Amino acid sequence: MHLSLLAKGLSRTSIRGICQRHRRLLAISSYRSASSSDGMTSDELIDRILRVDHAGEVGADKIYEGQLAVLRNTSVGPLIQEMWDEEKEHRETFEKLIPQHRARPTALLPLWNIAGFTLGAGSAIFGKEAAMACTVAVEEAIGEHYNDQIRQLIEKDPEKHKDLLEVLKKFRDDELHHLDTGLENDALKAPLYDTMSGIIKAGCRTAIWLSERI
Amino acid sequence: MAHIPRMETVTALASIRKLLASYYPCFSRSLSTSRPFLSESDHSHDKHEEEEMVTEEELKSSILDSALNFVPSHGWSVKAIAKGAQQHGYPGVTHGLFPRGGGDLMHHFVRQCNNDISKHLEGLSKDTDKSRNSSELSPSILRDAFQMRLRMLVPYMDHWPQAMALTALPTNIQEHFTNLYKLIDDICYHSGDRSVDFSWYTRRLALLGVYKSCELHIVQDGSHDYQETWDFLDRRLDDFTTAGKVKEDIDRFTNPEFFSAVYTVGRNILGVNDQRR
Repeated sequence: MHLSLLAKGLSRTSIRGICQRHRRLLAISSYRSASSSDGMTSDELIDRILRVDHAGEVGADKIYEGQLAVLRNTSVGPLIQEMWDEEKEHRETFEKLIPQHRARPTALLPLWNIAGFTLGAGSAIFGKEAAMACTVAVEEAIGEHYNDQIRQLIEKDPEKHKDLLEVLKKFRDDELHHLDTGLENDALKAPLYDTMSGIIKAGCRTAIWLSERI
Repeated sequence: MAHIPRMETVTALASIRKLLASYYPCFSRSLSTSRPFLSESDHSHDKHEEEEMVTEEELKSSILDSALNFVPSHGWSVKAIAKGAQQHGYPGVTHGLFPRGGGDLMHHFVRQCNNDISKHLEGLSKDTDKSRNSSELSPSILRDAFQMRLRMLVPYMDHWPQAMALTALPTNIQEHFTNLYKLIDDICYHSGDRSVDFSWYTRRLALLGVYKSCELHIVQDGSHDYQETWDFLDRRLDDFTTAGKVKEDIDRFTNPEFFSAVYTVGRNILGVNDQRR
């Protein structure tokens, strides 16, 4: 019994090690230029942030829905359902914040609805490792993106935007928790992991860039 | 309010200041690069009294306000602005402060009207329930807001077609659309719209169509108190409300369960749904 407990402990620490190594590799290898918030008023910045975050949560909602449609009766079904519920909560928060700040939602919502579901279902068809890999890729892109926004808001005025900063920080932590969950569930074992991850992250960044403006 | 002025504005202002200094020696005191102008009326008071400093924005705003009085006689043109400036004691060439001429006057007027409507609507929505159902907009608030906004055009109705033509100029297009966007967004929001999906856009586009068509109608309306335009407005708003209801009905029938039900019924009819029990 002690051996099995030891094995469990080892495997947990080794997974944490994988997560940390993965994040470090990510920081070194990924090339991104964070957008600058110069030349934008506070209101314009918040308008942009809320629009793109709402689009992101709608996309994530649809991705999990697509994954669950394929993987509902497998071992990861309940896990995906749990992550989906958290994304639904995020989406509802932004749907409350947008009218509050008189922000404009993105005009590409119908597109993200379809694209999200397609991505979720498409990745899940290749197996549950692929679905987890898709989750990891998306959550990485979203995590970086939330960090950029938090930085921009802090640059502008941390006191004035305290409430929004709290919300963004909490959601960023939730998304990184999903990322860890994905890694723990054999995301790295998915076939063609690097290619798929690269394509999905590039797609996410394009979607983010478009939703900021349209 | 302070912002970095464009080069053309700075050079235009500098040349006007020099011109004013040569004609009116009292202005030569303020030849520094600071913003405030001395207003003419204070020159007659005791010079030891505190001089009333006016910022550039306030000055431009007050000149345009006076210029509006001259629109019925001179149209939306630099002549009206020159007359407005003269009413404040400045020479007619002060219209050089406004590079777009009549366009600037029209935008000033439109911004003022939109601000008045915003304030009125905010006052209204304070009284009503905040958590409105976003599936229908209040028709009474819509009608009152549109009527109030269109009535603001009445004093300038003779020259409003000229203003509408001015909005087509390239220098005026962007601000025209910005002002329109703000107007329609305010009206939509305060009549109860809290949508965050694509209907945000469809509603505003539809209301934009209503507003523009009524604006076109009112400039050629000769009836007493523009009654025909208000009837036209009512008919357009009815169309808008009906379209909203049609969309809701369609949405009720385009969900996945409905389609799978149609599919199953089709298979039943064709007899291919033979499920052995």
